[in-house]
Amino acid sequence: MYLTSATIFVHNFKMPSSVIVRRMPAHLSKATFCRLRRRSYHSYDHLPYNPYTPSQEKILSSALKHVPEYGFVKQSLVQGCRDAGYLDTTHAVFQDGVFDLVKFHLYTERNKLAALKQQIDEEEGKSIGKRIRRYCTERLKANEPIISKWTEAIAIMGLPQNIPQSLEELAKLSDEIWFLVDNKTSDFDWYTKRASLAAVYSSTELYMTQDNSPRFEKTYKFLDRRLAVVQNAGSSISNMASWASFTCFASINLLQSQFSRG
Amino acid sequence: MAFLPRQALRPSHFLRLRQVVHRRVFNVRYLSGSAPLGNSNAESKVGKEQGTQATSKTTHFGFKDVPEYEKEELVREVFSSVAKSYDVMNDVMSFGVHRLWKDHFVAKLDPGRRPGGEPLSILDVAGGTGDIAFRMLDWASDIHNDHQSKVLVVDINDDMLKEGHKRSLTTRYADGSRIEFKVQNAEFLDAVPDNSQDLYTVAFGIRNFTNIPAALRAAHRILKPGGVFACLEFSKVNVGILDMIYQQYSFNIIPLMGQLVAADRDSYQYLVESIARFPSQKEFAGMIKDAGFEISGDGYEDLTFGVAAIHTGVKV
Repeated sequence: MYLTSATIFVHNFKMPSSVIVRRMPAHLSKATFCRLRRRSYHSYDHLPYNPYTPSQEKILSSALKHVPEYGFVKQSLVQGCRDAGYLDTTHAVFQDGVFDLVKFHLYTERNKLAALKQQIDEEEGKSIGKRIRRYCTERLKANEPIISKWTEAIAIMGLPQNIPQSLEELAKLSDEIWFLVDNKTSDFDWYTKRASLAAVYSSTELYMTQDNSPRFEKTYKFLDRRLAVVQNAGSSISNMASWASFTCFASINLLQSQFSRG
Repeated sequence: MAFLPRQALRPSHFLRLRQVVHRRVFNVRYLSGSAPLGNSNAESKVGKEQGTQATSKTTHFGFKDVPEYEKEELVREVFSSVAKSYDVMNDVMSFGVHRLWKDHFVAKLDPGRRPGGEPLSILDVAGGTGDIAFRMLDWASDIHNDHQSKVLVVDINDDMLKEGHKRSLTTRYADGSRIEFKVQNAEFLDAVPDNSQDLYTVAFGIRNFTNIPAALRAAHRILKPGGVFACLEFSKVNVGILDMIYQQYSFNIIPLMGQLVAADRDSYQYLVESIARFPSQKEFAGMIKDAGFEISGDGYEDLTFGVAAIHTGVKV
């Protein structure tokens, strides 16, 4: 498909027989792949992929402490670099700038949920609805210290170049919660459950930025209402589906019997 | 941006170019000869060189293999011959986009003294004509109101540095207190002490270095802990169809334009060959890591579908 003289030349498609295997660059060695490659599935045998080095974690977590004061701006990032003992210029290493700070918040808070699993399992019992609600409230609580600046973060996440990564992070949060409530569904529900939880969570988060009630009571009531709607809708849809399948099979049977009679 | 108007195309540019073209277009010197198109084990040599720190005695010069001791001289020759028409050609070849890349590069690094911070020491490597240096000083002065941060511009080529120095005289940095020009080999940086710089920048230079890993190690040596290595360089286009167009353009059009506008086909043939030989974004990010830098995420940002890319790394 690309067989023009220039590209053959550039990519060196014609290798002489003496060169049998092209050496893999050191940083792409097999060991590195096993250690660091992102997995598209959950593995109990490997440590989860951590995109941050210890020094970056130090910088970004110190930077988050400055967010209530400065907001999601470069100033917080620079302060974080200073607090972590680096230079003002160090911030330039973060390819996405302030969006890296937002992503770090989303990433760390999402990963903290797994540590609560045992406690939540004990306190909330077996009800999936209750446990989901608990994970949502725990995750929303993590936004409380920075909620006054969270609209800035939402604006940054909504920039065209950042939308794919932001949506991916939302999907991961929804997936994490469904995973933590031990939901092992493998049919089309898998998608609808994740999509509806993502919709509930993101709308609640948006509500929370405008909530002035003490201890965000209104937000948690809002969450309850959203969850109830989804549950009702979910049960209506499944009722609807069973009614439709019953009617469909019944009509087929009726027709069959009509035809067999002749 | 006092120097900006100088960069715009002016009638005098064309007058000078026309003279050059008249003098030289029918008498083209062939510096490096035509590219040996059959040299297909070139790729494997790159790998070998990066892996074993160039124990072999040859290195690549465009698509040719030349003895290592010759490359420095050859690169010097190329840039001496293009020094005068460098900016005009950059504009012609990239349709002016290189200015956007450079502006974005500087905006991303956001250099300048901040409240409660120290003035910066910036090292601009292979920055002969001062393109990046002036932009960074302008950024520091105009955005951060910082009139103390300094840039040291080093280049292996005296002709390019002379161009830069000449230009600096027409800017607000003419007194030389904030900008300095020095001839230095990027692989050693003898005149720069260890742990002394906040920022190391190299824009469209690193692919010409004889030994890139050595230059990266030198960068690591001279940076302070927390200092940032930043590189703007041509890279690999990441969309198949665009890559095809780009390859056709760079191998067929650019050398031709070099011949017509600067009367120097060979130098521009070398430029496009050296771009094609430069490692991909991922490989180069790996080389930066190997030199001891830490990178964030993938460690690079593509510009214009990967025609150029910005790589950064931090010394911790």
